[in-house]
Amino acid sequence: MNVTACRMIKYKSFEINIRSNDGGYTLLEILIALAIATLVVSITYASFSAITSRTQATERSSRVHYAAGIIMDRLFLDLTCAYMRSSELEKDPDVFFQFQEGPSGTDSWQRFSFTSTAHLPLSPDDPGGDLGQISYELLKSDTEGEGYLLYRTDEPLFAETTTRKSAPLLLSQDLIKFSVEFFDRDENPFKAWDSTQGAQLGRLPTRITIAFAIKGEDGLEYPFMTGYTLPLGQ
Amino acid sequence: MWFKRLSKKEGFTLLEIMIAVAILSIALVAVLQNESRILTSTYESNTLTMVSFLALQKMSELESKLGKVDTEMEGAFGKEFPLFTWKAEVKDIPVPGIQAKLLRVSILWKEGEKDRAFTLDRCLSTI
Repeated sequence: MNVTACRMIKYKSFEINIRSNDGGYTLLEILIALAIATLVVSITYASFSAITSRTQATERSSRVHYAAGIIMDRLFLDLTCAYMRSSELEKDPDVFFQFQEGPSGTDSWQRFSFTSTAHLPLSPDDPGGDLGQISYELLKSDTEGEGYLLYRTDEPLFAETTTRKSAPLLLSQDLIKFSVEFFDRDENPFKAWDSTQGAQLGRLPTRITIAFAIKGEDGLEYPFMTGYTLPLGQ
Repeated sequence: MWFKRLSKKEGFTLLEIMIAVAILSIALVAVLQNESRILTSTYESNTLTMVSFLALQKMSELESKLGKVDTEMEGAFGKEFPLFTWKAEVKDIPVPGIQAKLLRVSILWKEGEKDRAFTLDRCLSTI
């Protein structure tokens, strides 16, 4: 083992001598070239890895914003098409607007159902174009952590179909701190709304403010807030 | 020809290598620049998504207060959105026979040293 190593070293020095005599590179030149190459490569690598990590961060934040956009767009369509026929309330127990507040001390809610003209015909035997009862449900995520899942159910009111109710559609996950606030015509704020009884009987809120945050894969909380005016809100 | 020179074991000249490196680095810079442009526009689109939601919220709030608000207002969005402020103005629409007002809501924020704004206009009936 030692002998071969010795031979190799001898052979190498021999080689280097020969080459430098031949007008090739000297060891010093190669070392300098290597040093410069290392410098250039490490600078390039550093800038590339910085860009890669920023790209990943931007992609994660993009996914969160995309999810928020889906929720906001769906809620906007459903809520601005919220329907109320106050004069014939007794005949129409199916037409309502209800928001149940979550248990006190939590920043969530359980069920938000209302009648809307924004019914989506999701099953093939549903002709569409009818009033629908749209429900949003906020459920605790099965996996560990404090996230919530948002489901949307859509049931046509008058369609003569056998499979009336559509399966709950998962709109988003990893939701936290979801709050909804209602305002009447006089700008009084309400934490809950029920058009089937009390002062809010047969009435829709004038406007709604929705705020939530989504926990991204990077562990950051991305807050979102928006608000809509209900055209039929009185 | 270059391959003839190669076969004579002359190698590349320094000038040739420098030109090759220059071309390579121009290509690399172009790739990196493209990447950074994509990043900037994705970031921009994320911010605008969020800001347009804020503008909608403020718009719906001011809309229902329209009779009671001043012609110019401004404010903040609270601790969840410390970087953003809003400004709003109500203008008459100078068209005879139309009883309407223009409500303009702007969301303002800073991006580095740059002042950014997102503006939403809505025409509202005052009857």
